[in-house]
Amino acid sequence: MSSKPIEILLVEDNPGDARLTIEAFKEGRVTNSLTVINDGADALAYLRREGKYSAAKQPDLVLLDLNLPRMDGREVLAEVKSDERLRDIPVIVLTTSSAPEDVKRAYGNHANCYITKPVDLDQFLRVVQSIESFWLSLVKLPAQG
Amino acid sequence: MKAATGKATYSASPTDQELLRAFLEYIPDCIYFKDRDSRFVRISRALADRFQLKDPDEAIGKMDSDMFSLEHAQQALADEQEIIRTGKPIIAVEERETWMDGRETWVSTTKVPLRNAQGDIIGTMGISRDVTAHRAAQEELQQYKVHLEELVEARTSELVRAKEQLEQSNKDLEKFAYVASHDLQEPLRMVASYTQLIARRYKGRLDAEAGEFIGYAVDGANRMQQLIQDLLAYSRLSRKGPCFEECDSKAACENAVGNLQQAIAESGATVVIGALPRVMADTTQLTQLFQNLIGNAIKYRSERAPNIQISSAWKGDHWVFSVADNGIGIESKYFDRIFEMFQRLHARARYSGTGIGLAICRTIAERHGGRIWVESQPGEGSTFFFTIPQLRRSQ
Repeated sequence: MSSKPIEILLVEDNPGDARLTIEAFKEGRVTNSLTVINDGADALAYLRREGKYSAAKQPDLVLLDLNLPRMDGREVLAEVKSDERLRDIPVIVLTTSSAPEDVKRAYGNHANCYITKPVDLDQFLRVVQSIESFWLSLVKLPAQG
Repeated sequence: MKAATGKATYSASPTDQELLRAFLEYIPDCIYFKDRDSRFVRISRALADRFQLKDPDEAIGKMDSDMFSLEHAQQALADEQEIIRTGKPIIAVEERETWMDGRETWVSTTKVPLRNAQGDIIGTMGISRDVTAHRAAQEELQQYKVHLEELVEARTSELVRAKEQLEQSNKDLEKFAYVASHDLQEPLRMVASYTQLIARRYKGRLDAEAGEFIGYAVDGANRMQQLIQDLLAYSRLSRKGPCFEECDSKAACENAVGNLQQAIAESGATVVIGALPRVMADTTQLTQLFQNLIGNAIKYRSERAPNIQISSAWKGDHWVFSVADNGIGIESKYFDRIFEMFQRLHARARYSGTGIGLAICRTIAERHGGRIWVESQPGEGSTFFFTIPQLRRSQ
């Protein structure tokens, strides 16, 4: 396995949720570098390496919340998936919402998967570990430029 | 016999004088003859009564201005002078009469020129019928009509308003449902997750009491989440009508069993699905209905391992489905209450639940044009029945 750490971008405005995800990844096995951005517009700027993010590394995986300030996760997803340079990056919608409308719309915008955050901590840890083992270990992704 | 022509030749033929007298005396309409100056020459008995005269002859030489208000008299005079000048009659015109004492009456009146044997106009004659009562009735009718129209209009605008309010409240409900599915659960997750994280991180450094407290906090959060989920499921039912399609109820039931796999394994339950028909139903809702009933059968089990039998029977124009268990059963006095929202029969510590599951079942059954009920023997088990009407292919 490559020693190069896996780059993860976590787009999440709730610090409690962000911390919980960080903690969950800490318990994982894959060496990773996790960046937290807490609004949708900044997340898009980060991915496009615009402005203060000109030196940002292209993430291997994006974890995206839906309800975000400035530009919400639905719009971010639509932008990413219609951008030729970004659309190959797997985007996992990780949100509290279990509304069928949100699920449908996310897949309509080509989200790679949609996960509702479980209330129970053990289940949440399991979810994050599943993300890690599936997307970061099992799945073969296109080589990054 | 040859028919007589021209004048009647009866032996007792009345004279013109007699005919005119009878006419003026007995016809209940007001009849008058006036000279060129609009003075009364002759009036009928009915008109004399109207003028409150004892004898019709008392009117001779009088004018309308002696009877009516000046305004009405002048109008009548002008009309009559016009008839004398032009020879053109006024036929069946409704006019208002105003009397000297201020009373108002309405008549339908016809006035024609009065000619002598040479054809010269020597005055006017007229006949009027009092239509005051008729007119009042008509006016009343018109008022009713206007009132009715106003009522209809008011009712219509009330309905429009009610419809707008309903649309708004549906929109609010949708908004609420979304808030519930996201914003309400987020803080809940924070409470539960971080309490659990404390328990995890500080294992061994906290005493047994702290563990118990954490247990209650997490349990509360979990229950709250279940409540929110159930309320959401219920509000989704009321927001969206069922989407009917031809569906295999056996497949729906098997899906429900699949979703309950963990509970079935943990409780050691046996679930036997008998022959189930194809029906017109909303597959998702039918699955949910089976899932809630089978889930309850597992939850309210007795000491015995749960044995759950699902079957169906054709009753001429509808299917009756049954979910029978060997659980704790329900007393007959609770048979209706259990289908009401938030009605629970057991202490939370013994059986968890939000009291929404069976209310959802009832709504689903009713939405499908069916009903739901239970038969039970406490200690022996319960059988829940629900009906779905005949498959309608044309729909």
